[in-house]
Amino acid sequence: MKVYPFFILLLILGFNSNNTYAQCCAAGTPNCDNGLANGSGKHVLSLSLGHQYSYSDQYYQGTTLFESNYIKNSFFHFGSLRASYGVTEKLKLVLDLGHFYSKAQTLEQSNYFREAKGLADVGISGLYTLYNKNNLQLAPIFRLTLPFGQFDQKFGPVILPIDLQPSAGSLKSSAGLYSAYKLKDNWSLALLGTYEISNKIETEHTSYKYGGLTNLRLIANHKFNKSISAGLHVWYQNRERAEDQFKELINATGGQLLFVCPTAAYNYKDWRLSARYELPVYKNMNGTQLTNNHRIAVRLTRSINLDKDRIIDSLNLNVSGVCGMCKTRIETAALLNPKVVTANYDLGTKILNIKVSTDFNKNTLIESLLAAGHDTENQKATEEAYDALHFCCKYRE
Amino acid sequence: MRVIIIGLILLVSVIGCKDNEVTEPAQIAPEIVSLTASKTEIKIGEISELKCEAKGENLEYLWNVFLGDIVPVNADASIVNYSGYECCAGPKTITCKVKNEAGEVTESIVINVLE
Repeated sequence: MKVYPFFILLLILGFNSNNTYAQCCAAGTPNCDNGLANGSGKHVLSLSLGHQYSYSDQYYQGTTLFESNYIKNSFFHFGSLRASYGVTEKLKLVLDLGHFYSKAQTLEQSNYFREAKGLADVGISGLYTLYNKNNLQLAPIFRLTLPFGQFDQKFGPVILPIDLQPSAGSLKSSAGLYSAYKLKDNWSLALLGTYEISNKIETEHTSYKYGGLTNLRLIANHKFNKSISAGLHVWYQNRERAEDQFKELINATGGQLLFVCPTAAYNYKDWRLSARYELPVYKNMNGTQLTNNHRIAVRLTRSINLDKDRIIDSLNLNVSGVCGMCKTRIETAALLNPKVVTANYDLGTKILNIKVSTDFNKNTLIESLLAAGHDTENQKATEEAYDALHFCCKYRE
Repeated sequence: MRVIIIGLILLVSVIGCKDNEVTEPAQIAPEIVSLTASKTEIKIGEISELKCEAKGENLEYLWNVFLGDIVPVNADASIVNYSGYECCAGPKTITCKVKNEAGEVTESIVINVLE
């Protein structure tokens, strides 16, 4: 498989970069993953809870590590709630909410510890699939980050600096393109490119404008089986310099970064548990800036097919079975299909009655029944599947 | 048993009387007498000590600067240290707001952070 060398190279990069670091936490909601692109179909609602931890304790000047005794370390714990919904087959909307349990720094000066806590900003994103054929998906995306979180928060008698505030303090808008390509052997590749602009912050205590932000992500993913998948993201980020209250560029802001992020996910029915480790492998900072060592993110997602309750049809299917155990097995196999709402097998008539929702595919159901060892109207289960049945379920003469 | 009950009643009475001290709200708005800095020019990473001298009762101090770091030095935060890293080069305006129940007053001072 052609993708293997690429994947292995990225893994090598990812696990041999202990001496490189990346950008510290920026103000506001941390931008960590490409959750927008994670799939969900029409009328599928996905709800997820996430947690991120980031730790920073190194200064970087240009491309080199720099000894400094200014800020000793900086970290944050961030909890998030995400809701995504497939409005149509093509349009998906995502709502992100978050809360900083702790966003803190310790200065070298007197070991002074300062901390912010509170609501982060609200993100609203959309992805519209323009093209989805021949295993290729192309979709423009947009995102608005609304500054509803806590800003100009103080710690004791001092207003906290902007990079510790839970909110970014300004409206941010971004747009870009997502493209995904399904490869053979359960491999997939995706490319996500966005550009973000920010409005100027003008409050009683702060006057500041973030520089533009370019993000490019290359995502390779492999599905090992029904439950387990893993991948690697290569993430390039270019942040332009910020402006102060006099509209002058601030020298020590912005820079170029390259991250490698191994990911893993475990799926069980409608649940998905995913984890991601974010590791900077290259950095070129403007001036001297505090940079981070790593970031870890975990997320638990539950998908709910709202179509499941919308019964549009009732079907009868002849299925072979002889006992109560068969009845349970047949009905369970049918109900595992997300488009099947109810299933009832009549042992006397050998008929399986199912009520189904939109986009139901009969062939998929038949495959499931055959795999469970039960013959259907025109097709027979394999000898292997049949042999696996309990002796009391042997319906063939 | 009777001794324990009497003892408990006495204990509750004593504890209950403790919180009766109420701080009177200030009647006069604060006034800043001076806002001074040990250095008005500092290098990156260097510290300037700022002192805000104010008149009034129940004073509360609130410090702010657009870029840079302020660390309280004393308990009421009338004295703080200011320092700036590379992001903060250039003149920086530091404000000190002093307030109480009767009002508030703000004063500012400029510290130049040299690259």
